[in-house]
Amino acid sequence: MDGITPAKTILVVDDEQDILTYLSTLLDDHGYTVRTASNAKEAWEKILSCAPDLLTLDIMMPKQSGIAFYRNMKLDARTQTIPVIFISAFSMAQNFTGFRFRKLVPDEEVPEPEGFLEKPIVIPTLLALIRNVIG
Amino acid sequence: MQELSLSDWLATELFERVPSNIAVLDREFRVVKANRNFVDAFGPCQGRHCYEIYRDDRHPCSSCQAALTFADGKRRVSEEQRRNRDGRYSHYVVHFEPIQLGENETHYILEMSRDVTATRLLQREHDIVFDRTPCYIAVLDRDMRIVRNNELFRKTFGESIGKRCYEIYQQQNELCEDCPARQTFHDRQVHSAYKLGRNKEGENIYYYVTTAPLSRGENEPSHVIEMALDMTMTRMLEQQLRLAFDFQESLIHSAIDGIIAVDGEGKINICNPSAKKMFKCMGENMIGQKITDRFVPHEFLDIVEGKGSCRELKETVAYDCDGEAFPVRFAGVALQSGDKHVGSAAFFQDLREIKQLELEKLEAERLAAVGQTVAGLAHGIKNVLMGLDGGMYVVSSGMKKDDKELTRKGWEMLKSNIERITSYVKDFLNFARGRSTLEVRPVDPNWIVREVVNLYKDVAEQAGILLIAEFQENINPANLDAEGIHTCLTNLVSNAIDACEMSEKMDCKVIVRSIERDDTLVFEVQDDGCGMDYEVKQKVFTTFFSTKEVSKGTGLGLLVTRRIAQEHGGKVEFDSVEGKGSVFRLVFPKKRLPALSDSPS
Repeated sequence: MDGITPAKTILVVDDEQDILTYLSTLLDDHGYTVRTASNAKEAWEKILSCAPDLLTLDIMMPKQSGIAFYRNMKLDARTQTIPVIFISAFSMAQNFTGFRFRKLVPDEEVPEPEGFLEKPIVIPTLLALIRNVIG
Repeated sequence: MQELSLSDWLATELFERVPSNIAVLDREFRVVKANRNFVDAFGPCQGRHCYEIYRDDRHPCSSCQAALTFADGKRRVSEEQRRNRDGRYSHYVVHFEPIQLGENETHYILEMSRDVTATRLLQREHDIVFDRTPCYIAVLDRDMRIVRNNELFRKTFGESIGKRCYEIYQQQNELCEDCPARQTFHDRQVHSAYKLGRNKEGENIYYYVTTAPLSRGENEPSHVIEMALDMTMTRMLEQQLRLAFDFQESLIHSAIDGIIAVDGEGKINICNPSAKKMFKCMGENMIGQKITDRFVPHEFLDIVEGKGSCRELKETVAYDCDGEAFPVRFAGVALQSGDKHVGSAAFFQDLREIKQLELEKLEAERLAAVGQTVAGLAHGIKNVLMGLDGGMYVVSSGMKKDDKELTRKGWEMLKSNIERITSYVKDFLNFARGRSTLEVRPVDPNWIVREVVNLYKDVAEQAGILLIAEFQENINPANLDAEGIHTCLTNLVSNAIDACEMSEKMDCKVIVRSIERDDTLVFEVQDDGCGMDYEVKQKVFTTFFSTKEVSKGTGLGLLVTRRIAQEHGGKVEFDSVEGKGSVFRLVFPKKRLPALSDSPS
């Protein structure tokens, strides 16, 4: 770990406590500062309070879905520059990049997220993607 | 002597006995002598003027025939009306004979009259009959030329005197082959025939013609009278009737529905091919047989007996000739002509094919649901796999760092995800096992409601939710698989409690109702919890999409509920308003409920 640069902060958003435990342990082990949120409302509060460098975002959550949360975030000047990696059980090939994503993100205002990862994740792939996005 | 006496007799007696009224008039038109017949007819008249006698007049008539005969000495015959002694007028044929006793001068006139009133009357009646009979009447001579015809004949066929009959009736130049008039000329007998001719407008005229000989004593009849009755209207009605009959018969004959009709006495008079095929009685002649409940539902027999006018059974059971039962839709109607009950008709729609399709559709839906569930399951399993991966990672990370708390956490993750996968597999197997064998018994619906409410009372109470059962009193026992319905209600109540927990309201309630109305049994579960938004409503039964937290079930509950409802011939309906709550109903038309299971459980 480089002592000079402060650790990057990652906000992990998922409604499953197990996933939150898993990802926070993993990312903490690799030198990131981790915050967690188990629903969209909590995520919105944390994003404003701790200004994370990156979000990992689940899609299927009770009340507000990850997609809707992503849209809100990308339309808000305070948060729209924060990169997002989706981590979802949706098959990317079929549901997410296809029908479902297009349907829920229908216009040109919202850019594509920085990455999609399908559950269960492959650890080196996730770490490489994060490094690629925030260094 | 004798000769003398004969002329004496003639001179005296002939005058009296001739069957005519005889009077002798002088030039002053006075009666100088009259016979007995004359006096009988006109009364005493000696010395009276004829115009006084006949007309009660004071002057001679303007057209007096006697005066003419006095003037020119010629005999005359005329027809006159004269007043009889009783004051009534009669028709007389009168002969005026001049009596010249010398020179060329007429001294007297012998006037002989005969009462022809009866003949005249007869003639007038004949004329009326001939002219006004609503038949075409014509008299033909031996050359087939029309010598006389009546008014209707002229109106229909135009002026035709002197023309040949076939030119008129047939508008052709030859005698018809079966000409009845020619036969009558030949054998002097009456003949008849049905003919088709044309009127003066060229339209077809159907008529029935009768010919009779007219002769005045000759051996061969000199004329034939032809009387033709117009049958065009009758013929047209006959054709229309035949057309209507054929139309209806072929309609009944080719109907897909089975049709059996009976007359007013309950005897079968129609059994169309569809009915014969449906009841497998192709060879049997049912026409004329008394209707029984062998083929038709007993409701129809009431209609046959005049009790009720129509009856429809959306689904009932009929039995064919082999005694095999099959489902039909039935309609029976009383047939009326005015106020008179003339018979009844029964209509059958064979539901076997539809039933089969329903079964196939149910199976297809089940398979589709299985497919959707597999997709949903894959989604869930990915989460579980990630949980297991995570558990392993956290355990090893904890061990590496010698962090006991972290290791324990990881271990818990492993445990809970193994539990989850077990639960998935159990639910999925339960759902995918296919058509279950229902254990159908007559069950009190309220009993199941009571069981489910008791089961969830504690759970609801702990969550601060009021769980109430509202029973309909006197509800009838129904043929149900108690365990299946129990599962359905358990799912719905559990969903309702979850919806209440997800709501922001503090005091939610869940009501479970049993309702029986219009031959339909309904179980209703109503909550005032969070309700569903549009997106969720669309997905309730399709791709499984749980809005619940992870630990709360696999999302197969409603699919299982729907499958059980369908197996009972029912369906699951719901209404939901986001933020206000939801109502789920299990709706079972009682007629579609399954039959009782054979073996006692």
